Amino acid sequence: MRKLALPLALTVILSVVAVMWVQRATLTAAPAAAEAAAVDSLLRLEFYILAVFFVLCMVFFLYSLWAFRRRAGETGDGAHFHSHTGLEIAWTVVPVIIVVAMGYHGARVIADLKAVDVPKSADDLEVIVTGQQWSWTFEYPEQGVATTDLVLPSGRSVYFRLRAVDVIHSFWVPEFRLKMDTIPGKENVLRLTPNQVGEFKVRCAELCGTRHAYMESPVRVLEAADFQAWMDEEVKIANDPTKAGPKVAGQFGCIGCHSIDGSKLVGPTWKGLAGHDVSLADGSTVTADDDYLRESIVDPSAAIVEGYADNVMPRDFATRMTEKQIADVIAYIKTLK
Amino acid sequence: MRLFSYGLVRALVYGVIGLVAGMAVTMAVRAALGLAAWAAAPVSATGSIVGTLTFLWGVGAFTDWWSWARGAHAAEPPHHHRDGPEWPRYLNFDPNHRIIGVQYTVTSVIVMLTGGLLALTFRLELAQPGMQIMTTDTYNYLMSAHGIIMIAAILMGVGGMANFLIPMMIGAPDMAFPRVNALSYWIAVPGLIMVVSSLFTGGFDTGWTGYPPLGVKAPLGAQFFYLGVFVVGLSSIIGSVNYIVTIIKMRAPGMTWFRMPIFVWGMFATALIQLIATQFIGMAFLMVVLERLLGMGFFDPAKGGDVVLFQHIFWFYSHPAVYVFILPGLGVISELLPVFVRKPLFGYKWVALSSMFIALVGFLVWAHHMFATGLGMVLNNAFMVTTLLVAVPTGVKFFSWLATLWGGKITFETPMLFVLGSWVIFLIGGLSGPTNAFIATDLYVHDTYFVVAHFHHTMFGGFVFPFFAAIYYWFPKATGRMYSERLGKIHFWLMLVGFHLMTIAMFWIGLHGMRRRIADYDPTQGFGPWQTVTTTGAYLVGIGVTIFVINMIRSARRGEVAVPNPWRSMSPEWQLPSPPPDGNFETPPEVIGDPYDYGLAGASYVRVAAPSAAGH
Ligand code: HEC
Ligand SMILES: [Cu+2]
Ligand SMILES: [Cu+2]
Repeated sequence: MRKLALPLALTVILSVVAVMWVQRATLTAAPAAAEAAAVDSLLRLEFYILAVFFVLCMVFFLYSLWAFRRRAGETGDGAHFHSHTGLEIAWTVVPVIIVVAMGYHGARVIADLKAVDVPKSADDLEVIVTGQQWSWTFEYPEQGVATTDLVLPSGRSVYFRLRAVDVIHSFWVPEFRLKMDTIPGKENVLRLTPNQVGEFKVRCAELCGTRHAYMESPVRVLEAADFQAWMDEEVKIANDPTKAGPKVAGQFGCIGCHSIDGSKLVGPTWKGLAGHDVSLADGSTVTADDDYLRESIVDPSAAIVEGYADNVMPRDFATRMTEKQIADVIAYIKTLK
Repeated sequence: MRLFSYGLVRALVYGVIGLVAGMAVTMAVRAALGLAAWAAAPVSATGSIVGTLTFLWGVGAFTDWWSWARGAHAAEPPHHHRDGPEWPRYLNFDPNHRIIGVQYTVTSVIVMLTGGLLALTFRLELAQPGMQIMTTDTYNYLMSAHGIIMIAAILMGVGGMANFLIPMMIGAPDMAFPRVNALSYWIAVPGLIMVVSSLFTGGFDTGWTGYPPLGVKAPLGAQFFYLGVFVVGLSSIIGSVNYIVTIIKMRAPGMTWFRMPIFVWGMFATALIQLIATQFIGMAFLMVVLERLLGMGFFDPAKGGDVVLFQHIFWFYSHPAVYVFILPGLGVISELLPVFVRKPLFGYKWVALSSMFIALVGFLVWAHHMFATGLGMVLNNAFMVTTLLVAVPTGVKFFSWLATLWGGKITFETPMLFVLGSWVIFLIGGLSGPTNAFIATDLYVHDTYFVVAHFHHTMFGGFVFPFFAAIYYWFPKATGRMYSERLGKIHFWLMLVGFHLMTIAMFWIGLHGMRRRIADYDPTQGFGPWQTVTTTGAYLVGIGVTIFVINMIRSARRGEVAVPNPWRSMSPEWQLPSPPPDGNFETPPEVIGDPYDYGLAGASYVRVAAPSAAGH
């Protein structure tokens, strides 16, 4: 029993040191949402317990290796004892108690967060997040706005509806802590309350193919008033045909390949396109009416313009753009006489 | 034609013929149906299935059964003569458990080296942000293949330890079904070839988890991966039947359940899991293959399928599989500690039953991998609690091991060093588990490097280190020679230091938001230096393993001849000559005491008939 004194003392001292370290260490990415407080404090609590167990086990382990090592010239075997039922029961029951208590606490934490598996409440800002290989789109259905940057107000709870087009992705802003998968054929929800103004990134957390590593989109958290101003502007643009189209064309990179002044880029110019005849690579001619324009956007390979290559224009606009965005860009093309 | 007397050579030749024939027939059928004859996916699928069967035919897996089916007599037992060199037996379909054990173990090491090389390759890429030496696709292929190849290596290693040890430890002449046993090894070989060939047939970028829809869209390599795992799974199932029957029916007289060597308990629990669960991954992967080949929409919402369903079936195997990997390893820890501590295993019954309890609870926790799929609160909480419960039996083992150390006379030979290393590594692996079990913290650390570090700790602590301990410990038993203690120790320290460098950095950046399975990472997050540390650690591990391989090869050929019982163990296998003769014991040994009564004067575990007894 005397042998127990040193390791016990060491356990106590080092546990205190370890707990103090856990308390001070920056264990996680800088927080930027209200939910982070609860997640971080649960994490810290877990680490306190782990630290104590780690110290307890390691001290006794290392102490035993030292104290009970076979010394030079020593022969013979160790002390002969088989078991101690009291001890075994103790180190079964104590962990059971910790598990039950912590399980209860863990269930409370996630329930109190009201972040997953909850209905939308009236004052949540609703955002539909759609993941596709390898980009994100964000729609604000109540305002009729769609973007590729996620812009959020500080201090207001946001109700994310998470969807996926092709494969599973996972919506995660590390600073907001909680992540949730976007799954084809299933809508997941996540409610978060950003509370730090700043710039972050949505980082896809589920392996989704070639460019998974780069499936990141900017997140901007603004003061409530700034957010309102941004949103008013977006709404104005969305409802103004002369502005909505150019914005969509910029956002999806159309103007990188299509000029609006008649010059030839990777793709044909949009100037004077609408309503005119287009000669196609297969020798036929079509009139560029609304249906043709629409088809050229959602299914670029259906008709190839003469003198241009197939497979250059991205083929996923059908899933990445909303109906309204497609209509907006068509309306815009039609203004380019 | 001497070459043809080696089963492996015949098997490879027959396998290739079968592959080509299977492909040709499929093409003919397709042409007859008016389809284009060549279509890589279906043609290679049937080709590899036929090739697997002809491979087994070529190695001679069906020879005896076929004789019996015709009413003829098969050589019984085959290959029992001991004249001539022994090594050709290792290249043949040999029903002896000891040979099969070595075949499995060597295969495991080779496969592990393959998987390790892949990791060392992509770790170079990860050392710095930005893409330097490969494309993101190549990274995805290497990383995915690394995962599944390592898992296959572990399964082989488990098979190796089980086959080599179970019959000797329980005092049996061999496994209950020796030919089934050899089949379980040989069927794994074409499976492994398929898994590795995925890299050369286009790769797959899904990770070892192979989740659809990504798995359905993945290149042709994915098909080889799914089918290969299916075949390796058959090997697990067939093997486990044998372990279970052997353990239940063939224990030596006097060996009650609670007098079995503790490793056998671990293997019994493992075999139960393998038998019950393996079919689930087989089925999940087969369904994806059918979806790929025939458009069956099991997991395609557009066809009424369900994406998440796959994950349930998959993890219903793949969580318990974790215990398939670690229970044998923990068994090795419990088995070796008493020998090097010279003291009985503390709380034998508790340690034994904790394995069974882990196996049971292991079946009730699978959805803890799926909190982020939106299971709903009820399931979330249920799986959180069952998962936390795993800590209880694992804790029992840890504390019992500590108590085993207490009051001992500890020595630090290489096997013991690896056992002690496992203890530390697995401790950290276990302690980092709950963070992934609590829903709120899991939704943060899920799919980050924290998880990567966590499961590498459980795999290294629960399998890799114990496996090395076992190889060193039973090396003299298998070869009759001693390994180099000096190289063994260098191997140990390199691995211990390298491994921790690797994972501590991973834990830290994982907590700070480093996503897993990404080819490149955002330099603004500041993870570069940590990644360099991880890569450095991985290379230290690599150097250590290289030294291990050198040590093994050199010692097997020129090592000192080992004394009969170098560890002064009481266990039955050490009462046999090294390597033991076929049939092991001349007469069944009799169990007359407890397995680990070290330190009790005059105690003895088994009584082995005089002629084959080796000094104690
Ligand atoms: C990477 C370059 C690229 C991008 C980006 C791109 N396109 Fe194209 N686009 C082309 C090329 C090349 C063609 C001609 C070949 C063809 O018909 O597919 C084309 C054809 C078209 C046509 C038919 C033009 C005609 O003269 O008949 C339309 C309409 C069109 N694109 C709209 C869009 C819209 C809208 C976007 C953005 C949402 C967009 N494109 C983005 C390259 C691009
Ligand atoms: Cu992704
Ligand atoms: Cu699991």
